[in-house]
Amino acid sequence: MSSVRKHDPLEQLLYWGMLFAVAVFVALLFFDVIVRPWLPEEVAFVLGFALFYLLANRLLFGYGNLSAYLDKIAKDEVTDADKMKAYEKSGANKHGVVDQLTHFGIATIWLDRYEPYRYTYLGIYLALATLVIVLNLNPITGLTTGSILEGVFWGGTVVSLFVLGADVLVRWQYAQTVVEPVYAALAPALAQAERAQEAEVAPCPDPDEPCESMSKSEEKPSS
Amino acid sequence: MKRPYALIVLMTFLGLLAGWGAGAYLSNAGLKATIAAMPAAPVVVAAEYENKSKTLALTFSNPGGQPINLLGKAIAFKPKHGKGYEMAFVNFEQPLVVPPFSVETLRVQLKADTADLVDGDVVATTIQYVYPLVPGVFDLTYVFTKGQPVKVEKKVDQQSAKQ
Repeated sequence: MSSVRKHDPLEQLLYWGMLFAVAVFVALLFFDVIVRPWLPEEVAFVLGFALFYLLANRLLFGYGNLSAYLDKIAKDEVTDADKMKAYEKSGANKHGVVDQLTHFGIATIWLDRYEPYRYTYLGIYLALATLVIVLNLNPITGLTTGSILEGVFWGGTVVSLFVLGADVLVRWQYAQTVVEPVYAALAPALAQAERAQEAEVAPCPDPDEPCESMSKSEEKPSS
Repeated sequence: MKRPYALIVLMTFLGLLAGWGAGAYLSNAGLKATIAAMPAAPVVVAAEYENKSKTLALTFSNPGGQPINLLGKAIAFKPKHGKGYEMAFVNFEQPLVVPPFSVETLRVQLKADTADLVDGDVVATTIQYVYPLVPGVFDLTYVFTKGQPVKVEKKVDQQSAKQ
């Protein structure tokens, strides 16, 4: 996967930095340095934030870059260098040569690229939310396991908020800059195609039977 | 250029909800830790005397977050008529632990030749207790009067008498 993807240095730095921070944090937990002055709920909150950030890193940076690209398309400021950068980042090089693709095509491929990451993140977050609710329904587990996992959940919620914000923003931009112009351009052609389809001769309902009522079906167009 | 005002309003609302939830969770965690660290004095919430086995059952409630160790007892028995007696302080063989936020019942055995208690007889029990993390030994004296309702019920009677 990394061979077809152009790396963002800042994205890589933040990812590995956060991973290193988690490793240091867990090592300090292991040597009992953090547990004494920290509450277990606070430790769970920080760990939940860090783990969900690692999961969301690619989504955040991907949606951020795509948002900038869509913004340039909307303002008509996009250059060839921007297009080349987007072509490499979006994974559109698996779909065709850069000259064959429009900005709209690259943006669509780029948005589709993050669907697996998006649903993985959402699935893990919702599974954790379900687990926390189920554990807190039981008064005994709600005091122990449920209370700690709730900290992981709230830490992850802070990250999920930014993921959701980036997600809906990019989808809004995509609808404004790609979907609307494409539909506006295609609307006359679509109407023409529909009219042509209606005018077409209705096919024979049963191919095994000989078409005796051909002239009748021609008069009233079938649905 | 259109701006996503609806998205801004929605995300602000969701951000307030998430911040509320996370902040409440973290401050509740601190509150729970504070309460769990506070020692509280034991309270006798129920007392019952059995004439047959000559035992006084005292139920101790621990309203705090630290366990309470009951170390030993002294008893003073004072009947309405006749002569009473006192039993000197004796340590229990093992301290009776009242866990945090729960109740524990202590059975105090009176002398075998004690006559059956009648209304008005008094058994005063002094209990010595310690906390595991607090230096110092504390005393609690509970005065049990036969035929007299437990304090809580008495309070309710007084209130209803006033009305």
